[in-house]
Amino acid sequence: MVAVTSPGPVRRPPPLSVGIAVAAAAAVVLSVVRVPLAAGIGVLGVVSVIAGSLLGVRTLLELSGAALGMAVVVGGSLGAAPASVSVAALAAVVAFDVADHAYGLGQGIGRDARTRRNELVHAGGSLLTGGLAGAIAYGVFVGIAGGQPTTALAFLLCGAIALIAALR
Amino acid sequence: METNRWAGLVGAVLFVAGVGIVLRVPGLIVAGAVGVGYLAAARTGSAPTPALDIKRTVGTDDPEAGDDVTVTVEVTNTGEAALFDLRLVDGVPPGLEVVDGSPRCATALFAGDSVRYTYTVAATRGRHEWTNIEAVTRDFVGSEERAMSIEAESVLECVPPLGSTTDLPLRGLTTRYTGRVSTDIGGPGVEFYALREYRHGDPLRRVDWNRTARTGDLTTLQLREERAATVVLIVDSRKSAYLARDPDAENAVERSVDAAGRTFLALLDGGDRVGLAGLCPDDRWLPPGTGTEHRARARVLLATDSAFAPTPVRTDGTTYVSRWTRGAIERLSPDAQVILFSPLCDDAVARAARRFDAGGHPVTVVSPDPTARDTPGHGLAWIERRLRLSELRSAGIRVIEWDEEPLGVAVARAEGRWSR
Repeated sequence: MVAVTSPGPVRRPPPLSVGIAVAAAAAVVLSVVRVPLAAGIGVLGVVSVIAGSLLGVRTLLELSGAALGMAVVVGGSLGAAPASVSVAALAAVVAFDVADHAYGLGQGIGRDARTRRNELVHAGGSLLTGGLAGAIAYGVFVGIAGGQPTTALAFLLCGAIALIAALR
Repeated sequence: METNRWAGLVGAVLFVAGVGIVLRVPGLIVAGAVGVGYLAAARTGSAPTPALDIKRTVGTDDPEAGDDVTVTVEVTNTGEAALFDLRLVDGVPPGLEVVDGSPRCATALFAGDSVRYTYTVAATRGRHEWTNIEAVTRDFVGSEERAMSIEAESVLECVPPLGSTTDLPLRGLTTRYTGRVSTDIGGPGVEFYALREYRHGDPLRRVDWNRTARTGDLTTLQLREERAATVVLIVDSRKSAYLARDPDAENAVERSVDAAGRTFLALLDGGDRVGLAGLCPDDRWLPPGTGTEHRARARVLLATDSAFAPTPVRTDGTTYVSRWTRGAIERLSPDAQVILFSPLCDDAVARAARRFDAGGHPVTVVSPDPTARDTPGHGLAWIERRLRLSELRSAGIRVIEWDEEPLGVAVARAEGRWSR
């Protein structure tokens, strides 16, 4: 019998999801590009999402999630428009979600298996969830913009969190 | 089961929204709300229990060893619920190796949808059984997962022909049938044995006319009589004999079974009566015999029986070697000799060889070497095995040490040191 070398699962994230994650991370940078500091932090996030996906290191993906989140906070604090901040937040969560999902697929299924449909459905679901939440929140913000926006919004958010805690 | 994918999100949401409240930036509060959306989805989502219909088709029924066999897996979601994240891992039998494609697949199946994927395995000797497919589902945002094992049985049976022959020299214990073991008895044969005075009744063709012409006395030429032997091949296939030098190498049982197959064929072709036994929890015993049917039975037994499987089939059960040996000696006919195929990596089997020898059955041990010397521990195992071999040799048992070379080379080398 001739020994056959085993190809084995290639334990790296599948390329499609990595592409989507990098695009979403880049969207964060673009959304807060008016605030150079925020854009700088965002670029750090883009770099670490690429590195984490290529090397298959989850710590780097978490780091990129934190960097993208900071980019949103810094961008919002230093005067980016509310709409861009919302989009940046959505893109940041999608980037982390998709990259982390791809990491999990890479570990459990491998790069050489068929995963395309799974990846697309997950990315779509992620975008839909965040988009819906963002749209509602932004709609409320625009609707009550006349009064005391921040306080009212803060209370609304607290209410939403309390509601979620009560769920299930 | 929770996946903890969203573990840090609550903190992130509170931080973002907190900064927004302190600095009075409404955009950040809206940003926090986006995160709250994911939290809500993660909190409410639960991994569905999949209702799956699984069909696995194995390309060929009767492949040759080494052939590529395509395996097709078709999975249909027969339940009502949509499976947004479904991961499938087909349980490839341990004796088979995937050479192309992947037995894994990740997909999303809505109610009634199905997925089909293929991969290729290289067929190896033996009976290989698929039993399960592992399925893992996750909810919409991947906050919870559920793993389950779904039964789906398939079988691939590969019965290779017995390999080409290696002539293994037998020791001089024979039956009354004509065969190939040379004896110290003059009689019908081909090799010169002795000359003796003509006796009344000797066939005229056997008279040495040259000598008669020279001396005037009638002289008969005697030839060495060749007789057949009864041989039982014993393959040590206990769990502890599945040893290999490195994970990719053929294990000792594989090599033993291969060698036993060749030896079986060679002996049978030489006219000997050959039996087959497996030293393992499933006691296997093919009594010595001859003929085409016997050969076919041995072929199937060696290829597919659990006692000769390329990977250990039974993980439970201890083999009590001394009891097994006692039983085997009872079953052996008094004139049978034993060829034992074993890596000789424990003392029990070495003792068994000596007991066969003591019981009057000449023993030849064919020992594929599974030891490595890369670490001190492996080195120790190597030394122990060497000592065991030399002890057997000093007890008068023939040992063929079989390294990586073809069996024939090992036999030729070992023959050099045997004194007949």
